[in-house]
This record gives sequence, C-alpha cells and structure tokens, in this order.
Amino acid sequence: MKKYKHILKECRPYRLEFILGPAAKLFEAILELFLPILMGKIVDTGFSSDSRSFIVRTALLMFGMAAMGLAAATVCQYCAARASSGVGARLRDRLLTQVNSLSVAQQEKCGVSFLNVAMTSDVNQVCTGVSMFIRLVFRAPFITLGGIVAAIILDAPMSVVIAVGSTLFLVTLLSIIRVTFLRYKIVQKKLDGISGVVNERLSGIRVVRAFSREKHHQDLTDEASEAYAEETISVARYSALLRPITILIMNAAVVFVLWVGGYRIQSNIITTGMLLTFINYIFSIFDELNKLGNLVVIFSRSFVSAERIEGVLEMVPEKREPETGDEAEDHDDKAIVKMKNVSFSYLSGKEDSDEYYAIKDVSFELRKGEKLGIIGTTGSGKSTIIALLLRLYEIDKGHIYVGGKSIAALPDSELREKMAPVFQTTVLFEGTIRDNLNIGRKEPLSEEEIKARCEVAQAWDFICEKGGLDARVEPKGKNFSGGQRQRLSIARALCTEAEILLFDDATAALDKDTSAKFSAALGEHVKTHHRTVVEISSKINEIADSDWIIVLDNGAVVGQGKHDALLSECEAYSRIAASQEMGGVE
Amino acid sequence: MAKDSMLSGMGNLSPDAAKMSDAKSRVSMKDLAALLRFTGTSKFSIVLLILAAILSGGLQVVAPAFLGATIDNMGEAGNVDLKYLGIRASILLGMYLVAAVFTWVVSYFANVVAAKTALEVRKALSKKLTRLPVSFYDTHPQGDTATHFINDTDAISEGMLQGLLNFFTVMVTILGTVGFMVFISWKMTLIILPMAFLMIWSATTIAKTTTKYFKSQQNLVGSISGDVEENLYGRKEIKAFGCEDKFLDSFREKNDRLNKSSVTAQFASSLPNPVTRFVDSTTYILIGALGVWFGGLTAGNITTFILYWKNFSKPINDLTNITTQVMAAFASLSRVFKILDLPEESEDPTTDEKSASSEKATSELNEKHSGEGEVLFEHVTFGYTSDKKIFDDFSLCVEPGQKVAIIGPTGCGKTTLMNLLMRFYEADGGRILIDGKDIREIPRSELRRRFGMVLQETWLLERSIRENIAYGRPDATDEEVIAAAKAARAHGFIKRLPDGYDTIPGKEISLSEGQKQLLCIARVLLMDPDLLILDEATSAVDTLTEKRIVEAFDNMTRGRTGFIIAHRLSTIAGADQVISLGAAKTK
Repeated sequence: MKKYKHILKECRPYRLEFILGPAAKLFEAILELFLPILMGKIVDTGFSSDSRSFIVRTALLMFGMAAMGLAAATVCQYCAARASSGVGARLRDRLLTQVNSLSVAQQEKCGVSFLNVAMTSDVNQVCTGVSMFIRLVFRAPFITLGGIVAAIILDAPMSVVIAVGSTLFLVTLLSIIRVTFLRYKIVQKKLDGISGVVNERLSGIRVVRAFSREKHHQDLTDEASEAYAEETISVARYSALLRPITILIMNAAVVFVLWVGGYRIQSNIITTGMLLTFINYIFSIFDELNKLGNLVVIFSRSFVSAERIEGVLEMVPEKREPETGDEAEDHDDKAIVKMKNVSFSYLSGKEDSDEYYAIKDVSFELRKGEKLGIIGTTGSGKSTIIALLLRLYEIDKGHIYVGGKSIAALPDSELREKMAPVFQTTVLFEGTIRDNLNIGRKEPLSEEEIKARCEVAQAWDFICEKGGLDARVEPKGKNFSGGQRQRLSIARALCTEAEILLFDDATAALDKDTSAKFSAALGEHVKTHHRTVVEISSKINEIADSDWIIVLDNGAVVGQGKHDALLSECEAYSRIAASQEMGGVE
Repeated sequence: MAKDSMLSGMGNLSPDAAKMSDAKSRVSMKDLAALLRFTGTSKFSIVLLILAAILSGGLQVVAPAFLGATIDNMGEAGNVDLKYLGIRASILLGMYLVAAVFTWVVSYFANVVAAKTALEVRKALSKKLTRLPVSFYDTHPQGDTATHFINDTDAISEGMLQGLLNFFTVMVTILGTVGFMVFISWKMTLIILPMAFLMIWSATTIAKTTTKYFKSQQNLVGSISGDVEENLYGRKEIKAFGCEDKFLDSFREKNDRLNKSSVTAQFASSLPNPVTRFVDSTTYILIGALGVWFGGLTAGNITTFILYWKNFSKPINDLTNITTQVMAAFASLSRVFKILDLPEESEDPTTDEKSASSEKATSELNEKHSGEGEVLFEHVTFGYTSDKKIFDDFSLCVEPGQKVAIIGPTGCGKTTLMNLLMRFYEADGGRILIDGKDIREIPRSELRRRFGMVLQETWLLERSIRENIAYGRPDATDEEVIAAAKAARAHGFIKRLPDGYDTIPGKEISLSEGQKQLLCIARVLLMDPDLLILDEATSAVDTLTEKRIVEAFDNMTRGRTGFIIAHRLSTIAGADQVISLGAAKTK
C-alpha cells in the first residue's frame, strides 16, 4: 500500500465517503439476502383463506426492503461519485503543480506525452477504480459469503453445493479472464502494427506512387490485417469459453441443489420453498461473481495507471542550491552576459564521451546594448546556448554570468525576468492576443505601448485585421499563419521589460521584406530601450551588423569576431557566406 | 462477451450514455446488405451460428419449464420419487451441457465471422487506397483515413460481434419465453410483460438524463485536457516568461468546475444499476406473492417464472450497451462505404498494350541515356477546382538532357507541374508528351519509373538504410546500393553510422534533414531514371547542406532531363531554362 501513498493521501479527505458508501452497500446486500428467504416462506405457506394476510404482509415487507435497498444504494452511488470526482480533481491539481515544478530537462526525460497521459487518462482510470471500489468491492464478496452463510443456517449440506459451485465458478471465471486479458495485449500490438503500416503508407503516398510500390504497401497492410485477425480469432478460442462455461456451472449448481434438495425434502429437513430460496441464492451469488470478474480487469488497469501517477509524483524537483564563493560573482561588471568555458550535454551522465556534448567549451561576453550573433549549421548547438542562458538546463562545466552574477546564484524568477526569448518553434497560448502579449508581465502594458511594440514586430497590421488585441488565439495559435505566429512571439518578447532579448532564428518564417523592416525597427527599439540582443540566425546578412559573432560547428566555437574579420579569417564563416551569396538568399 | 464487457462500459468519463449520443446513425439496410458481401467465406459459419443460436435459445426456454415440472412432480416430503428425480436431473444436466456447447458455437463463430469480415473490409480498403487518385490523399487528412482503416473497421467488427452474439438467441428466447409463459399462466404473463417495459423505460430515461450531464462534463474535460497539453507543449515559454501561476490559476478554476459537474454526471450514470435491481426485486416479489395469491402457481411454476424473468431482464440490461455498439457500427459502416464508393484512378491502357509497353520499358532500361527525355507541354489547362485555373494554355518544350528551373511565389503551380508530369493529377485540357508519346497512353507505373523524384518532405521507412535506398528496386545488389549512395554523397555519413547500411533511421539514430534528403537522392539514383524532378528539396536545410545536395543533384542530372522547383535562387544556378510562374489566375 505504501506504493500508492500519494494517491491514498488524496483519498483521505473523502474518508467519510469511503466508509459510508460501502456501509450503505452492505446494508442493501443484507436486505437482498432476506428476500429469497421470505419468498420461500410465501411459497411454503401456499394459498388459503388463512394465509391471505400473511402473504400481503410478507409481500409488503419485501417491497419495503427493496425500496430501502434502493435508497441505500443511492446513498452509496452518491458517495462513490463524490469521492471519485474529488480524488480525480485533487490528483490533477497535484500532478500539474508537480509537473510545473520539474525542470524542463526532467519533463523531457519523462516524456511529454507520458506526462500528458498521466494527467488525463491515468487520472480517469484511477477515478474509475475509486468509484468501483466504493460501489462493488464489498458488495460481491458480501453477497457471496452472506448467501453461503444464510444457506448454512438453513441447511448445511445444501450450502456445500453452493460453496463448491461458487468457488468453481470464480476460479474458472478468473482464469479465463486472465488468459484473455493477457492475450488481448498481443491483439492490441497487432492493431498498432496495422496503424503503423497504414500511416507510413499514407504519409508517403507521392513517393509510393512515384516508385510504383503501391502493391508492396498493399501487401504489407494486408499482412498486418491478417495477423490482427488471426490473433483476434485465437483470443476468441479462450474468450468464447467464458459465457458457456460460466452459465453451465451456474445451471449445474441449480440442478445439484435440486437433486440434493430432493433427498433433503425426502428426509423432511427442508421444504420446497427453501429449495427455491437456495436456487435464488445461486442466481444472486453468480451474478455478483460475474461483476467481480469485470472488476478484476478494471482494477488491474487502475493499478497500472496509479503506478504511473505515483511515478510522476515521486520525482524530486531539481534542487537548485544557490552558488556561493569566488565563482558566484564576476568582477568584470561591464559584461551583462558572459559565458566562460561552458560545456553541456543533453545526456549528462555520459560525460565520458566528448561526442555527446551539445556545446563544448564556449566562451564569450557581451556588454549592455550590444548585439551578439550566433551562426552555424543545423545541429551545431546554437539553440542550446539560449536554453542554457535561461537555465532551462544545467550546464555541465563552466560558468554563465548575467548582470555580473552567476546564474546559479540567482533565483530562476529573477534570472528569467532579465531575459525574453523568441524560440525557433513558436508556441502561442489559447486566450486573447492581449493575454499572450502580457504573459511575461506582472502589470499589463498600456494600449499605446503594446501598439508601439507590436509595430516593431511588424504585427500590428494583422492584429488589427484579426479584430484587435482582444481577438481570440486558438490553441497552439492555429488561427494564425506561421509568419504571424512568429511575429506575435517576437511582440510577446518585446512586451516584457527584459534587458536581454534572445532570438532563435526568429525571422525564419518571415518574407524578405518583412524581415528587413523588422530588423530596422528592432535596431531603433533596442537603442531607445537600452536592450541587449542575442540573435541566432542561419542567414549571414541578419547578423553581419553584430558587435560580436560566434561561429559554431558541432558544438564548438570555430571562430569569433566581427563580420569583416571573420570573412577573411574563419573558413567556416566564409564558406557559409559563400553558399549564401551565390545568388543571394530568397 | 469477455472482450467487450472487459473493455467497454464502466469507463469513468465515457459511459454508454455519452457514447450513445455520438452514434447518430440510422440502420441502413443498404449498408447491411453490402456488408454481407464481405462475409464471403464465412457464410457457412453464419448459418451454423444461427442454427446454434436458435437451439441454445430454445433450450433456455425449455429448461426452466422442465425444472419447474420436476419440482412439482417429484413429490412431497417423505414421499419423494428419488429415481424420477435422478433421471430428470440428469436430463436437465444434459440439456444444459448441450446448450453450453451451442452457446460456445455461437460465441466462437461470432468472433470468427466478425474478425474475418473486418479483415475483408480492411483488404478492400487497402486495395482501394492503392487505386484512389492522389487528389484523395491531398483532400483527406491522413488521420481521418487511418481512423477509417483502424477504428471504423473495428467498430464494424465489434457491432457485428454483438449483433451475432445476441440477436438470434434473444429473439428465440423472448418469443419462446412469452409463448411458454402464456401457456403456463396468462395472468402472470400480464404482470411480467409490463414490468419488462418498465425496466426498459427506466433504463433509457436515466440514460437520456445522464447524457445531458455528461455533455457538460465532457466539455470541461476537453478544456482541461487542452490546458494540460498547452502546459506541456509550451513548457519552455511558461518557464521563460515565469507565468506558471497564471496557468495554474486558470486550470484550478476549471478543475473545480469539473469536479462539481463530474459528481452529478457520475451519480446519474451510476443510477441505472440500483434502479433496475429494484424493478428486478419488485417483479420477483410480484411473481411470488401474486403467483400464490392467484392460487394457480405451484413452487415449480414460480421457479419457472423466475427463470423466465431472468431470460427477459438479462438482455434488457445489456440493451443499451449493445444498441450503442451496433449503432456505432452502422455509423462506421457508412463512413467506410463512402470511401469504398469513391471514384478510382482511370484505367491504364489495356493489358495487351501494357505488356507490350512494359517489354519496351525493359528494353529502354537497358539502353539508357540514348538522348531521350524530351518533354512537351501542349496548351495544358489545369485547376484543382473548376473556378481557379493554375495553368491556362501552358506550353513548354524541354529538350533531352536540359535542366529546367521553375520559380515563382507560393501557390503559383510549381508543384502542380510535377503532379501533372507524374500523372498524380490529370490535365483538364491540352496534352503532355514525353518523347513524342502522350503520357495518358503510357501505363502509370511505366511513366513513373522513368522519373526520379525528390520532394521537400523526406519520407523514409522505418527500415534499414539499405532497404530505404533499394525501395524502388528491392532486388538491387549491395554494390548497386553502395554505388547509388556514393553518387548521392551519402556513403560517407552512412559508413560512420553505428550499423552502417543496416542502421534503421528514426529508431536507433535520428538523421538530420540534410542526411535524409541525401538518402532520398540515393534512392532515386538507384532507379537510374531518364527524367528528374527536384521539388523544393533543399528548402528545409541550411545553406551548407544545400550545397552538398545540389552537388549530388548536379551529379545526377548529368545527361538527364531535370526539373528543379525551388524558391532559393542558389539552388537553380546553372539551369538551361528558367520558367517563372506567376500567381494563380482566378476566373
């Protein structure tokens, strides 16, 4: 149980529901067990003028009991609904808080889709488990055991038939379910197999057609479909047994009760009415056992989900001890951003191999109001530098100073307040344009200021077209084009009060004209707002005016300096320049 | 059945009630008849299944009466005819055993028929996918088509399974039961039948109310899932802009509302169980009390009636679940047939011509680069829709071995040119000739084999690099594959991969966009085509990688007719002809 301690903790506020619910169900079950006994009495009494009032009284009593049972069951269902909804809400809250407190590196290590599943469908699965627990877990065993106990009281030998029958039923039921459940996982894999080949085929339709390989893919699809059908049929070999065998066991139990009952009636130990009582117990018991069988499957799923949730909640957010000592401060206070011999690998732990470094021994410094350009081929580590400046990842070696302080000595919030990034892939959030632009601010910006900064980002025109700052932004900003999204994310960065702007290929989706206008406007803006810029680009003309340029190749700095110097001194730089000057970009 | 009872129903957030509202479909006899076509080889199994279902249903009607009669006739206390009882009990056991065998036949063959039908539907769909024109793929999202293939077909199979499992048995059982009940006591029948309707009525009424609550809950669930997804998707932004709390606040507010609405929805959805149990108990009491009251019923009769009531209540309880699945199956069925009924690509020239021309193709393959590869566009007219012409009276003459660059803004028809050349789409007017032959007279596979095509999006299979390069010619030798890779400037990096040519890209190692593109070029080179098309193949890579691709491409175009579609001028340097296309003309 310790394994599920976080979930149990969230169940604790619903203690009352967890006790009251099953208690109400027990009460209902007890009432239910009395019905067959009373029924037996009615049958035994038979009809005569004397028995009239007895029959009426008994029938009314039974009806009253059934009604009370309904009331009790309703109470239980309500408890179950409250507890499962509540536990679900609490778990979602805990999970989201936990996920937010994890570092980006930890989130990525977990896998974003894994976290998504944990917060949505896993929580739902646990809710179902909670609800079923309250509603059914006690009912089934109680009806079974209660029925057997009642039978013992009525006539012990008859109860043996019921007990043996129930055990046989339960064992058969569970073993068939177990086998089918396990095999069903294989079936699921085969279905994923179909999905794989179909999606591959659909995504490459032009290539498939161009190489005239339709038949090949059709064959692959058919093979996958056949494998799936075969597996489904092979599972059916077991699952098809479930219904006939369980019904047979139940009916056989009824026949044996009848048979043995005949002897007991002969010996005058039981009455015909009691025989009816026993038969009815068999029906109720086997009904409950059937439900229990389904419950096993639901619970096994809930437990798998619960373990995943526990796994997420068990994670310890990276503790960031503020750095102290000599390295905590940089005494060269003229530099606003400074990297000193920084190395970083996304696979920290595998440090032994230099090949895994995303960036290796990078140093540079940048003064207030200056612009740093970073250039290099794809995969050379450009974007990593921005992520490291924001401390989204922890560096393996070296030091990064921002505003004269080591970023390890600054609280995250203080560090990130100083910087505003525009990432390569733009992410906008659902809400209004205004919400999106104010996202990095405590106090919303005034209307005129927003307008001014959006104009710098070349975004004002289309914002007006969309209906102004209060226009909706759909999830992932899908109602904007790629270029518009990029301009909004530039505007978002400009709307903060950050001293340092970080641009990661921020104009890749803009056409030549717009991107030139933006460059000019940004130059003005940066001057008046005294902002420092770090710009990553694959286009030389965008960083040629930088105060300092770093040329990266495979994570290492292969050249740094000003544009003119690099052209003549750095081979990698001049090669990139040559490849872009061939006919000019665009 | 085990499979469905395990996997459906009881789901916390998608109860039957909510599912039911989604399955907005009508039972279409036409679709059902069409589905029968796919049962093909299973027809014998279906007949067997129906026979078994009728027999097992019949036994379910006879056995309770037999049981009741035994109780009444075995005699009073101290006077029980044990021999009679033994014989009757054995017969009863035998009946149940036979019924179990029949039930098994129904269950097993229902599964088999459903699985085989699904297989046939999938095969038909798969064949259809081969024959559908490229325009289908351009207008139908991949996810939708995959859903038809996977989920809709599964829904059909599941609905069929439920139908086959229940329909015949339930029909026989209910009809037979009513008949026997009337025979034993018509008065009791008059009590039981209304109770059955009461049960159906209460179950469906609750289900309807529940649907309402679930809809509002479902909206919140969707909204919360959206929040969760956004939180993960925008994780870097949220951290960088320090707005964790803003997100948490909005999430908490929704989560709170969800909690409240979920209590109502779940409570409502859990009510059918106790309510039907109450109706069940009431009926049970009525059978006992009134049976005795009217005086006509013996203990045996009462047992029989209780068992008959079970014959009724079981299918009624399953009713919602089964109808939901059957309705969903019909909805899926009509979606699948919509695809199957779509027009296919026009037929290639007749078989005679085909075999003749493919012989010619083989001979052509042998005498490569004989200066062939002349392409003529004669007054070509084309538009994806009738009101927007991409090409209007477009003519172009490309001599063998020429390199043609096609430039122009987005949407001007650069890619359309390729679509027409490869016959992914057919021209509306005019004609396209290759070496003097109208491309409509050349079988598609032969025409396409003459072209080598490299697209902007690199498409590789999750198979070894060797298999990927040999995609168009699976029989190619290792030497040929390596030669193609060398010509594509890809050999160098492939050699450095952990498993060389056996590396599976995407699985073991992720290749850069540029590397993938070089593999696509190698794949084309191995085909040794007469004509080449390079469609924006370098727009996703940086300029240095682009240079390498262009080199590989130059290497490849030597002696071949080539079409280069690009928006970067650097890619098209050195072309013999540059065609600049304007924006699309709207009529």
